[in-house]
Amino acid sequence: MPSIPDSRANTEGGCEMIQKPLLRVRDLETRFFTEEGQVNAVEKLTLDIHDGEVFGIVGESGSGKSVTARSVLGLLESPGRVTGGELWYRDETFADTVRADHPDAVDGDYVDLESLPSNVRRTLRGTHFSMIFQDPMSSLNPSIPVGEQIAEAVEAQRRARANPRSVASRTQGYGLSQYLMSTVMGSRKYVKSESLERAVELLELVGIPDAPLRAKEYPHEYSGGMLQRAMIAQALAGEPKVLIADEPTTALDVTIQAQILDLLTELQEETGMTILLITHNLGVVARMCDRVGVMYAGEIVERGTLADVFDDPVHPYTQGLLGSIPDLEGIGARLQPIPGNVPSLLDHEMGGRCYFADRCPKAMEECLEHPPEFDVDGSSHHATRCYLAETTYSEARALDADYFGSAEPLEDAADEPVEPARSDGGNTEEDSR
Amino acid sequence: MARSRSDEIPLVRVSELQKYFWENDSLLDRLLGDEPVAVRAVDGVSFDIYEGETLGLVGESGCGKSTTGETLLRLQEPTGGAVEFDGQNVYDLEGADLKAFRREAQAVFQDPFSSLDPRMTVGRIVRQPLDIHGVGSKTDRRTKVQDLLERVGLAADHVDRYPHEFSGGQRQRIGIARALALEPEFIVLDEPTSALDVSVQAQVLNLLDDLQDEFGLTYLLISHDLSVIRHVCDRVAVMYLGEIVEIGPSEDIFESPRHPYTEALLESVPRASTEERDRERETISGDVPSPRDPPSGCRFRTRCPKIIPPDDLEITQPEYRAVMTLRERIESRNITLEAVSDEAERSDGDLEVDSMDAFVQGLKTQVLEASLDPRHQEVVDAAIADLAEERWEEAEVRLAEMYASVCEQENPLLTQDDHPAACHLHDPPVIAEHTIENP
Repeated sequence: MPSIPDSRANTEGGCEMIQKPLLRVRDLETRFFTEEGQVNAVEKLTLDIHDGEVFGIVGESGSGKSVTARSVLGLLESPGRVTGGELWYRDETFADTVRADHPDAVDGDYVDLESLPSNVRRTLRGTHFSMIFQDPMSSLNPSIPVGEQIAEAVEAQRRARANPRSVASRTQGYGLSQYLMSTVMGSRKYVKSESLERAVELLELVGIPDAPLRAKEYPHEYSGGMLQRAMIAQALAGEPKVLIADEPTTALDVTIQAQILDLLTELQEETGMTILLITHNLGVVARMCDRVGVMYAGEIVERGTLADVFDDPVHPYTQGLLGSIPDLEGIGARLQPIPGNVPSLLDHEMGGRCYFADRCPKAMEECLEHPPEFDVDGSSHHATRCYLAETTYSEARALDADYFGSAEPLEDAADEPVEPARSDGGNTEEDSR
Repeated sequence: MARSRSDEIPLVRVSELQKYFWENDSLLDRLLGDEPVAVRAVDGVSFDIYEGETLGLVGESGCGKSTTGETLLRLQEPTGGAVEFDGQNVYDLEGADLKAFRREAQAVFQDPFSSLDPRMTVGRIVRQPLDIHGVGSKTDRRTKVQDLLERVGLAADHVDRYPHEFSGGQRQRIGIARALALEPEFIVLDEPTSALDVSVQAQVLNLLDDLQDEFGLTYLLISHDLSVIRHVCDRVAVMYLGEIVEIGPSEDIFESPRHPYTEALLESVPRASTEERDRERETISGDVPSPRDPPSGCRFRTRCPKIIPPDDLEITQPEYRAVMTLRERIESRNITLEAVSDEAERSDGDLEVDSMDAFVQGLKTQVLEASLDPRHQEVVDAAIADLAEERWEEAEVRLAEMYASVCEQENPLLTQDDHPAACHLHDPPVIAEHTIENP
């Protein structure tokens, strides 16, 4: 039986009972095998998510946030594959069901989802895990009324509950013959009228006015905000324990974003579900999350409570990210951008160093060796993959500014490499006129 | 930088600019006798841009900011209004004058992936404006292109590469180099950073700032991102559904917004700080109405949290908001009666009076967002009872008599002061009284 590395005790709030995390991700590795080579989209990712919390993953595009979410759900498509790591999910009933067939995958209340066959894992989707996607316009089927799409999700869960044994079968007892019959006889339709009623209820729950009427409309008749609400309704159909929200408000305007965030908060308070929120928007994280993980190049480089990460960031990347946002509250000084670009994550270009070292203003000799995760003083949740957690920055051991000249393929393949700080701060003094 | 500039002559003066797009306007539609429908993307917008400043144009998607930018550069023909650039009306220009205007006014577009021709080298992309306008000799142009690339933070020998070899931020730099090639006075920046990550966005914003100082450029920055606007702009114009609702120095707009829409917009932006979670904010409900059929009077009234009730009416704001939302839904016939009447029948059998009561109660829970004072309750119940018999007009009139707001009758104009806002709260109309009687 595999052992689970012990996680930090949850001491948040002090009086709270020490509880076991709902989800323990250990050394998760996701690779994409592309023509250009192996892409290490998620690299040794370790994470605990507790019951009823909102955990935020924040990072720039290409940092592996969405791939992490999809890996947790097992929704990766070729050429992507989870190549290593464990994904422990705590659910007593589920553990009991699986124990007989897959004893190796069970440890106490925990089940390692990665060692389950995909058809068993599939039964978790909808009822235990659910996901909402970034672009509501392209995530719903344009040729089916919204209400019916949600009803389909309800129906699938209803059938799953009615007959837990056949859940694993792909058709859930609704085969081709039934489908053909349904074209003649309305009573044989996959979606039953109770499910349609439930779909209307769900639409009301997410605040769609005049839900009975809107349920009959097609996605193009909805506005972006309404569609996002509809998608949330669909995700809630199976009353999931964990909701994964992948950039849920990125495609929306700020006033609508505020509405959707309020809705998510409300639903979370009502149902007590756990939310894994993926976003690039630090404001959204600040609004929603209890704990945050900052991702860079497939790794969580810093994690902790919201206050740990926002008020005492240790990793220079976190600091850079926070320094890059223009302040709404006052005219700030000049922005402090991070020079350079997000690395490509190709395996052969990654090397053994700290992945951020080439953009890091505080890169030192130590950074040539990949840093492990260090605990940071302050809160028990705070940890970072940076040597600065243990040592202080010293000029003596600093790397030369152009040490990584050869690490940035675009800037340097040129005959005369451009110094990153110059090329990206725009500090060149010559006048081009 | 909020200095008074009323005595200066603006570089760009936009007056009453209109741009409508027409739907159902094809030959077939006309043969079938369909009326063309106007989509009023920009509907009477006026503002000035002074030399050396950055004016921000901010608003939600679909409010007409990009169309304003394109129309004032004459990339789109306007439906009405005028744009003066250096004292000349842009839409009257022809031939050499127009070409001269094109040199002076340039644009940087939102999407760095689709605004660069993938089959041209970077050198050609940046050189193209020089070629078209016949600037200098061939070697001059080549040196100039290399200078430009270096100036925007790329390397001079990137000239022979293709756009796909660059990241988003670098491509946006190429777009900026192209806009700078003809040494323009004025650049329209249409969402220049919205496709970029924050760290790269900061690089590009800093670059734009440097270039402005160096070349004395004037910018019109179009963005939906309020924090970018705040950081970059000297003055800001806020747009909603094709109109400017507020315009003023950046400081004033952000510190003391006067229009309820600007307030709501500012409130909605989540701040990246730990205090954000406890920040009380009021979100506005509903979606932006369609520009095909904008609301009468003030266009923001359908979502406004500060809509003005009639003088003699005693009603709280949430109550009034709820009644007004109900009125809109009645006016647009956007209420399903079947679902409710089904329910009413099911629970109450055939009893006429009871089922009417149940209908009213059932519908009310569905369509009314707040509980009302008994006085208003009565009026609303009566109106809903009208609906039960499908007498929509009567319900409409009944509610309009009691609740008509000045905001739906008069379109507020921008006030005439240093910080104009188009809201009746700041500029109460005088003639509103007698119009209430006959809705």
